[in-house]
Amino acid sequence: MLALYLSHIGLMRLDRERAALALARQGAQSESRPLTHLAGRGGAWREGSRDIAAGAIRLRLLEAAVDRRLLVERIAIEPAGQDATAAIIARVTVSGPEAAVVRYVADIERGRPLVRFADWQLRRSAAGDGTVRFDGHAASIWAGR
Amino acid sequence: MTTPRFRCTALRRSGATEVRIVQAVSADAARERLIAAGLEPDSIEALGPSLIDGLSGRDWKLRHYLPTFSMPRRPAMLAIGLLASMPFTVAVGSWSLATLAATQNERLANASASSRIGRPFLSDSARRDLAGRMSRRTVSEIAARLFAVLPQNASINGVSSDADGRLKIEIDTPDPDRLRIALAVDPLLTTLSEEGQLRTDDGAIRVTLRGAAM
Repeated sequence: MLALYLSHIGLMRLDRERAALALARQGAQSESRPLTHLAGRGGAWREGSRDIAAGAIRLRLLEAAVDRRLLVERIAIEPAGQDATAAIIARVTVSGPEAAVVRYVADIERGRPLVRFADWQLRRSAAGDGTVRFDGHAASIWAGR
Repeated sequence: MTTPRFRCTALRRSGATEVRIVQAVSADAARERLIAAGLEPDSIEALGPSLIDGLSGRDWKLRHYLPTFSMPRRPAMLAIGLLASMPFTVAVGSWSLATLAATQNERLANASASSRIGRPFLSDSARRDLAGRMSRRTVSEIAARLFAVLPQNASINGVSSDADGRLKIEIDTPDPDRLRIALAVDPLLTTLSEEGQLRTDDGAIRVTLRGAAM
């Protein structure tokens, strides 16, 4: 009876470990899949390190805002999760005349490598001075060299 | 062993011939038995065993007619031993294999973690999430479409898109019906559904529209 009980426990454990191993192997395979196809040709940032890529993205967001004479309230790179070091997300909050803000967003989205805004809002200023405020998350892909 | 039989032919006084089968140890003994019975045998012939004699002489037990098996004693004991030890074998085998799989799993996890340091990595869920973000309509495209169809006396109070790409647009206009007709020109904006209307401080009507993920 003891041997049967131990067999049962052993087989259950074997089943569990094999499932975990299959999952880990699948994860390892997905790791080796290229990231460039997510952003298309020339769409991913190819800097040597994530920090350099994040710095370049921040600089592009900042320079475009200065060029359009917008008020930069916040341009900050958000910390990366362990499972998504290739995704660089920047929180962007700028305000200014409506046409300038819209052109700023268009400049950022038109440039290469790609930057795409997700979870964003464009809202008229409460002060009633004709300005608008844009707040959003700019997503980019860092694919390494 | 059956007693031999003899066919004896005797002539009666009446002249008729009589044939008798006599069981006796020999032909002479058969003749003596017939004489004792008052008959004078002419001929005495020995007969072979009859069919009934043949059948009655056999041992008719069933076991003689069944096929017999004989198994060597040592292999039989070996087979029984193997069967009895099977649960132990399975227990030891399954625990060993499970330990081996756990070790491989740990090694793979360590190798994967060390290879990720300083390198771009996306888990499956993060990859799906990022692919969704990168493939959505751009803010500038949505703004351009809106500005292209917006009536002259209408203005945008706010446009937003949530994490799933669902749009929410607030437009101030004195004439919501005219706004609805204007938005119907664009195939993207015509999919938006009106969520509500609200009168603003300056007398305009704020129309809120929501759309599916795009």
